[in-house]
Amino acid sequence: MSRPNQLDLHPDAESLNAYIEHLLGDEEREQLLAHMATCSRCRQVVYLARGAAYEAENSIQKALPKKEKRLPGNWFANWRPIRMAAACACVAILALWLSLRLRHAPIQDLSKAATPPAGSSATVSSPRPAVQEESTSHPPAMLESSRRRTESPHPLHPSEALESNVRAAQSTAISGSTAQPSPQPLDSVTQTVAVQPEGLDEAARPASTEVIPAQPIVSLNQQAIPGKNRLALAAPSQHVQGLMQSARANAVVAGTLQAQSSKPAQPSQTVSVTGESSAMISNSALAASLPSNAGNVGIDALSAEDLATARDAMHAILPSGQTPVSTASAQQRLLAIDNAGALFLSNDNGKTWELVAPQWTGHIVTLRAHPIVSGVASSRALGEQTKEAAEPSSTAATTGAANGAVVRGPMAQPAPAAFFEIVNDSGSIWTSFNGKVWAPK
Amino acid sequence: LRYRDGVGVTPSQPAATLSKSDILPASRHLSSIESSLLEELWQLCDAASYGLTRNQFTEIALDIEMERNFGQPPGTIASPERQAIFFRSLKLPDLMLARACARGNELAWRHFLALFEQPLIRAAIAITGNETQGRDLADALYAELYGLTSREIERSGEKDGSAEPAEVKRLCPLNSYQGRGSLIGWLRTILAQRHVDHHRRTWREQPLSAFSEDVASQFESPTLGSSPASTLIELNLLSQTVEEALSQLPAEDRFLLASYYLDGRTLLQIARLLHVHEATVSRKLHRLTGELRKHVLRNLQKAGLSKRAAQEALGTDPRDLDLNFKKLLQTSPSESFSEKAGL
Repeated sequence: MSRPNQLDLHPDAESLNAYIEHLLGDEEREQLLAHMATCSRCRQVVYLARGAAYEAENSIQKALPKKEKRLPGNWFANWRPIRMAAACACVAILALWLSLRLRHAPIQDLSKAATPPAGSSATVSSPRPAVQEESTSHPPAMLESSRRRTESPHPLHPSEALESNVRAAQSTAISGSTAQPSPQPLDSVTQTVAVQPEGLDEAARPASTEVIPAQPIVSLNQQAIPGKNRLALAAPSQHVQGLMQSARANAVVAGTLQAQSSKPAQPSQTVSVTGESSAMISNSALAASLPSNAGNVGIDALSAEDLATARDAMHAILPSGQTPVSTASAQQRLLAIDNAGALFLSNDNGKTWELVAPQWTGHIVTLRAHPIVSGVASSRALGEQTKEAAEPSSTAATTGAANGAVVRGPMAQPAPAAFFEIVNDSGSIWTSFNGKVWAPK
Repeated sequence: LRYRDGVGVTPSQPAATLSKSDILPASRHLSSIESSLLEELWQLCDAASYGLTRNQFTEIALDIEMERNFGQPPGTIASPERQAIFFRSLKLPDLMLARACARGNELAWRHFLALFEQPLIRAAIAITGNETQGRDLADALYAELYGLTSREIERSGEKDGSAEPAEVKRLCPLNSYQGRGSLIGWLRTILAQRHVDHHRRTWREQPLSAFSEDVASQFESPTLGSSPASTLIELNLLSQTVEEALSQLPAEDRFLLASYYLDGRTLLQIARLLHVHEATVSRKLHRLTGELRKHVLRNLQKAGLSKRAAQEALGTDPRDLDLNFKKLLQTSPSESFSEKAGL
C-alpha cells in the first residue's frame, strides 16, 4: 500500500481500487479493512466506486447473452452431459418403440380381422401364438433387408431393384415359414406375407408394397440425381401400379438430368463457388453476389478478401448468440454488430470474437469499412483524424503547439489503409482504425 | 498546491514527488531492464497506437522501476525473473497510457478520451445519481487531469521557454496511478473520492440550527437520571462488556457491522463489495450478532451477575447505555491503517 499524504491519512485511490478489484494481499487487505471499519469516508468511497463498477459491468453484460445460471446447491443441474445423454436415450427408445409399433399395427389389425368367430375358439387358439411369433420375427429381417438396400453403395437398375425387393420378401417369407415347426394353418396375414418364389403375380405384389415401392425410385435417383431433386422425385410413387409408371417417368427425368449434368455448367446457374474460383471473382462480381442486406457491408473498393470475409461473417454466430446484422472487414480485422447493437471484433476471420466496450451513445445500426485513399478519405470521413494517422509527425507537432503540449519525436506508426465507421440510431457516426477505439466523427 | 482534508483536487492522492534531479539519465538504466522483457512489454502495451516512441516507452518503464524498484526494498538488485514478475503484475497498458498522458502526449490524450470518456461519464452519473451532477463531476476531473498539465507547461514555457517534463509529472494526478488495478477503476475511485469529499464539505457547511433540539432530544436517555444505583452499576457493566466484545472482533467483522448498522448499506451492496452472495452476508451478520450477544452474556455473568440478571440487562434500552457505538466502532484499539502505515 502506498504511503498516504501527510495531510490526509486516508488510503489512496490506488489502494482503495485494488481492494475493490480484489488485488490486495491478505495483510494489506486486513490493514485496509481495519481502517475502513473506523472511517466512514473511505467506506462511502469504496461503496460508491463499487456501485459504479457494477453499473458498468451490468451494461456490458446486457450486451452479452444470458447464460444459464448454475446454482452451487443444484447438483443435478451441473450434470448437463448426463442429462443430455439420458434425454437422447429416452427419445431413441421412444422412437424405436413407435416405429416397431407402427410396423406391427396393420398386421395385428389384420390378424384381428381374421380371427374366427367365438364359437370355434378351441380350434383357433392354437395357431394364434404361432402367428404372433411369426409376425414378431419378421420385422427384424425386413428391417435388415431394407437397411441393406438403402445402404447399398452401388446404385441399382430399376429391374434389379425390383428383383432384390422380391428376393427380400421371399427370404422374409421363408424365414417366417422356417420359424414355424409344424404345418399349422396360417391365417390371412401369413399368407399375404409368404410370397411364392416365382410368384410375381398380381396377388403377390400387394404383400410387398409395404417395403418395396420407393426402392426403384431411390435407386434411380441415387444413380442420376443429386441433392434435393432426389426427394422430389421419390415422393410421388406410393402404389404398385403407379410404380411402373413413375419408374418410367423417373427414367426419363433422370436421363434429362444426366444430359444436363453432362453439359458444361453455366455461370448463371452456379450455386456455390469454392477454392480457387472464389479468389478469381472480381469485386463487382462479389458485390453482386452479396446477400440482400449487402448494403450494410462496406464495399468501397476494399479488397476481395475483405469483402468475402465480411460476407461470410454474415452467417457467423456471435458471442451474443445472434447472427450479425452488419459486418465489415478491413486489414484482417472483422467487425460485426448484432441486433442489440453490440459490436464484436475478430482478428482471425470470425473464429473468435471479442466484445468492444461501448464508446458511443445510442444503438448502432450500421457498420462500414472505408479504404483510405490519400486526399480523398481524409476529407470524406475522418478529417483531421485521418490526416494525423497518415502524417503523424507533422500533425502531432501542429497540435502540440496549438495546445501548448509537448509531443516529442516522430511516431513510428504506419498509416492505416482503411478505417471503420459505425452509425447509431440517431445518425451520429464514430470512426476507428483498429475497431477497438472509437472516436466521434 | 496543497489542499486540506476533503477539499481540492486530489485530497488523498500523494503527489508525485520526483523531481528532475531524481531522474537519472536513461542511458544509465537502460541495462537494468532486460531488452527481451522490454520488447515483450512493448508488444503488450501497443503503445505505438497512441504515438509513444520506443525511447519514451523505455523512459517510462525506467521511471516505474525507479519509483518502486521492482517491488523490492531500496538497494536490492532485482533478478530478470523478478523484473518480469513485477511488470507482469501491473496493468501495464493502462499505466503506460496514463504516464504518456501525464507527459503531455496529445495522441495519448485522444486515446485516453476515446477509451474512457463515456465510461467516466457513466461512472460519475452512477456515483452522483444525477446526470447533471455526474457530467459536472466527470468534466471537472477531466479538466484537472488534462488542464493542470497544459497550464503548467504553458507557465514553465513562459518562464524559461521550454516545457520541463519533470514539472509536468509533478502535477498531473495521473502520475499517482501505479497500475495495481485498472485505470478505469482508479478513475472511478477518484470520482467517488471527489464526490464524497464535496458532499462532506458542503454538509459541514449547513447551519447548526438545522439540527433542532427536538431531534437531539430524541437521543437523550429517558431514565438515566432517575435510575437507582444498582441499575447504574449494571449499565456501566454492560457498557464495558459491549465495548470489550466489539473491540475483539476482527477488522472485517467490524467493517461489516459498521456498513450495515451505521451506514445503512443493504445486504446487496455489501455482498457486491465483498464478492459474496447476499445470503452469506446475512448469515454472517446473524452469526456476528449472536456471538456478540453470547459474549456479552458470558462476560456479564463473569462479572458477578446471575444468568437472569444478565439477560435482563441485555434487554436494556440502548439509550440508557453510556455507549456511542459509532465512536466505539470507529476508534478501535486495534492497530489502525495509519499506524501500520508508519504515520
